[in-house]
Amino acid sequence: MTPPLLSVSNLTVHFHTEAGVVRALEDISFSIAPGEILGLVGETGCGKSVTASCVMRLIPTPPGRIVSGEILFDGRDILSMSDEEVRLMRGRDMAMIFQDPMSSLNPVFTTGFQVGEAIVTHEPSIAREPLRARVLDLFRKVNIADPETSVNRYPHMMSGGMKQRVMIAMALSCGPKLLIADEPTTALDVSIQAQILTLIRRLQREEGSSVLLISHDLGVIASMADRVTVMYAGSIAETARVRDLFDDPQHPYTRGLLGAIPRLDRDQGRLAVIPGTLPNLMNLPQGCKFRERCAEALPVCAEKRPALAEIRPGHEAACHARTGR
Amino acid sequence: MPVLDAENLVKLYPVRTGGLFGGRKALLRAVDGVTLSIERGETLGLVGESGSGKSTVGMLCLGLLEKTSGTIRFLDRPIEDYTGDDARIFRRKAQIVFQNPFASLNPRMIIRDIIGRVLEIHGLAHGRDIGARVGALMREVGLREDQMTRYPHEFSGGQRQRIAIARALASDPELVVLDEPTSALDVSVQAQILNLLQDIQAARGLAYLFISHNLAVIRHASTRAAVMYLGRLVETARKEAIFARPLHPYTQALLSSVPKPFVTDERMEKKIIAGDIPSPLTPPPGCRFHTRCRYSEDRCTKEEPQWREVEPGHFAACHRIGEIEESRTTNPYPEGG
Amino acid sequence: MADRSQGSLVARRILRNPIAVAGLAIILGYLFIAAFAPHIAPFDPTAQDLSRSFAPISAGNPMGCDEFGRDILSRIIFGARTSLIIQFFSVCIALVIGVFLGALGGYFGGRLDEAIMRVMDVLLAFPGILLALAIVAMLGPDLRNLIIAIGVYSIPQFARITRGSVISVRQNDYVTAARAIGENQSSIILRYVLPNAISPIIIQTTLRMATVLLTAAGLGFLGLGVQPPEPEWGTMLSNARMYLRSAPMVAVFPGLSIMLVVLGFNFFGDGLQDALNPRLKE
Ligand SMILES: Nc1ncnc2c1ncn2[C@@H]1O[C@H](COP(=O)(O)OP(=O)(O)O)[C@@H](O)[C@H]1O
Ligand SMILES: Nc1ncnc2c1ncn2[C@@H]1O[C@H](COP(=O)(O)OP(=O)(O)O)[C@@H](O)[C@H]1O
Ligand code: SF4
Ligand SMILES: [Mg+2]
Ligand SMILES: [Mg+2]
Repeated sequence: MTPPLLSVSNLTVHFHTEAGVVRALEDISFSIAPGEILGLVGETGCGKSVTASCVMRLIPTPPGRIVSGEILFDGRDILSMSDEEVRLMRGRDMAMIFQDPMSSLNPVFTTGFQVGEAIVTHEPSIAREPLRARVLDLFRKVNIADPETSVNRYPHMMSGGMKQRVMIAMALSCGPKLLIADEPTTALDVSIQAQILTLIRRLQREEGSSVLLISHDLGVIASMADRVTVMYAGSIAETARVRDLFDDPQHPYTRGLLGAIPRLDRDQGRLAVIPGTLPNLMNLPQGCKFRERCAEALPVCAEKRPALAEIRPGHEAACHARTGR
Repeated sequence: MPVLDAENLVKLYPVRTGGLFGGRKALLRAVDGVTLSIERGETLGLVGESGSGKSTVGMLCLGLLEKTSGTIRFLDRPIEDYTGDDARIFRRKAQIVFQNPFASLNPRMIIRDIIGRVLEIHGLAHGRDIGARVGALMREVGLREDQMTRYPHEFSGGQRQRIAIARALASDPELVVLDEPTSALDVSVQAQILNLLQDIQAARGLAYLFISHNLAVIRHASTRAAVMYLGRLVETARKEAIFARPLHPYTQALLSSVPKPFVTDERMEKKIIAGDIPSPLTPPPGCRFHTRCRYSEDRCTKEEPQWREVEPGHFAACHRIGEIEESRTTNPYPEGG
Repeated sequence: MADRSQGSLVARRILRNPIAVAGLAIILGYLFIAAFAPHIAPFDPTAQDLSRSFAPISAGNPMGCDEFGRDILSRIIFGARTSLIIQFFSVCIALVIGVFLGALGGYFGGRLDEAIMRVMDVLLAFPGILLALAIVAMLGPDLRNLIIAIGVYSIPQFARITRGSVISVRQNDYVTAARAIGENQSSIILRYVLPNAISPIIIQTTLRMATVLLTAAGLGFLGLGVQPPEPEWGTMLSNARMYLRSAPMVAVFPGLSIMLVVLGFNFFGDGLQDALNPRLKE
């Protein structure tokens, strides 16, 4: 087996706020192989964006604090790198695109200039003409119509979908090995979402890069990911290859989630419902975080937090009812 | 008799375009000739991408926005006729639930007042009765009545949406416009709210205008569906018909653009709609969808397609419906965009 | 409940900000002195004793005496009262009228808004305290007219702040929802819009207290304020000016008092701003 490109082990992150300590991540472990798309899915506040920020080392400290854990990228420990090393790594080795392309683009510069800047950061000696050619090339690659005039446009002159393409062009400018996409299509319409997902897919194949695709939409994950990690309240509930996860989900939370989605392909009289609400990350219960909402809970679930365990090769779940104890 | 009957609704917004100093005046065609009706006990799903005019239709139907032209009849009376004391009746009988439960509740009011004001305004309860009625409404939407002295910020998104629903129900309406009632919620909460809305409808027999950009939610929640594109309806039918046999190329394309929550061998690349949504300031001439339509031909760029009943109860506006129907069994989008 | 918890959150944020706490302490001290002036002041502030003219600082007169031999400490203490009265009533006038006009314009928009804002622009076009000066000159200098002048001069600030705040609150769905349940316009403004538009108005009120005090002192200094022998800091400063060479201390204490109270309100106002809009910080 090839060594993973990214491996996160036992990552625990807290935020110290006015109201108390938010246990945002607890003992998170996952890995991404070269050329793989890993889908990270879960409901709002479960810790997806915090996970991504840790990998990019963008967590604000304070209020954040990385309590423990290790993040290895290409064999190097991200958490112990110097700030300068991290700066060089961002953009060149791994790049990120966000949900809201507007707030990630600077309104006072043209989009072409901003993509150019992303290249110059890592190749300060690049000359004007080759730089222009590279930018035009990137615009073409992400299917922006009429690149010669588009490079001179300001962000506000572009639609949301076009801006997200610019963000992708910028992210790809230095050929990163890992692309982190945090809800890249959540702000877009379905028809535009389909375009952007297709684009990410195609570029990932062409470049052979890995993608950490974050979404709350199980549909997006099902149609894009090779493997899927499901998060719940700061912990990983389940990790599996995409087909295994959707065809035979193991964790009661994953099952509940899949049952709660309205479907286009069949009638559902009533939707299956996960009762109750998310636990408070400032005041987590003992035992399994999902226990209060779980129909399969055992006595042990109230006492011991379940750890991720392999149910079958490549399929892990953190659930006492599954691991049989 | 339909609860709501809207004919040829038009809403134009005067806007200024471009230029820091004034710019040109132009008319934004937010809603441009929409006709729809809703029967008692029925849910009409209104679906379309953002900016297609769904919310504007909802607000027009409730008289919360002034229409540019068209007629709206509520319980068989034009809404303009509800004046004086009757204005109260209209307000009582037609209610709305908004998308964002964090913006739709007054942060400075406790829940008892948020819901109780409706009862007070319409004289439906007085004094101590108000608390009891509010308690009953809270139970109906699945909240604990001992929470009525709390402020909205003490509740989660799903609970707030329940409060908004209770407020809408307080005046015992005949019609509730649900403007993306679950779009701001997580799927597990969405399922709770969708089930709740279903139960309420079954118990009270009210009519919903259910607005959403999410096709799966519309399919689940409605009895009939209407698809909007750039201020126009392109297709309406009973939900069984529209989702099983969509006639309009836009409906077809939209349906195949939705990522499905299961793994298939189909590749998404094959089905996407190319291009951006045009601006409602300058909608394309002829068929508004022709700039993105795979089937568009010369006629589509010039003539507006007629709204016609293709099958009983199944309406659509497209020049080529008869012709493309045969090819529908094969994949309409053979190449990527 | 919510307001309780939100209120306590704001209070906690203020208490954690040393500058705001200092401001609050100054304001509380000032209020205390003004409220209990007769009990605190060692002498009658208007009692003259020409034999003690310009008496230096001593145990009996901790701040010395002025040209008429009046005890400066007592005059400062009673002056706090005068200042507070001016501040309170003029800010009240400005607050009520300004908030009313601003809310009207902001909520209804259109022609009404245009008209109100043009009038405010005219008021604002008078440089500095010239407007107050003109009003006092017209009505004659006494406490009541001073209050009216300063109040009128402060209206546009409140109108503008309220208008801006109301316009942003008006966009919220809960305002549309209020229309949908059949609330009438005045009820929408009073129950839904203003309560949510209030925090910038509160901040403005605090900061205005400082400006108003300075304006009153300025007018007093120009001889258009409270007339002697009533003790008022600006007037005291103005009188002391003539003896600046021979008896500088007479000017120092009124000057310091003005400065301290102005600082107090500004410190507290800034702290309030940070506490009410924590996101604006950084
Ligand atoms: N800067 C911060 N300060 C305090 N809490 C934070 C901060 N950033 C994130 N959190 C908390 O961490 C948890 C996880 O957040 P996030 O990763 O953004 O969730 P999501 O899965 O929706 O992306 C949330 O409960 C959030 O409130
Ligand atoms: N107050 C307004 N002034 C100008 N344009 C508006 C206004 N409200 C909505 N619009 C425009 O009208 C169109 C339809 O908006 P809306 O009904 O909100 O669409 P939807 O709910 O389908 O997303 C959009 O292009 C929007 O920008
Ligand atoms: S009328 Fe023409 S352009 Fe419009 S949907 Fe039909 S085929 Fe496409
Ligand atoms: Mg996130
Ligand atoms: Mg809308």
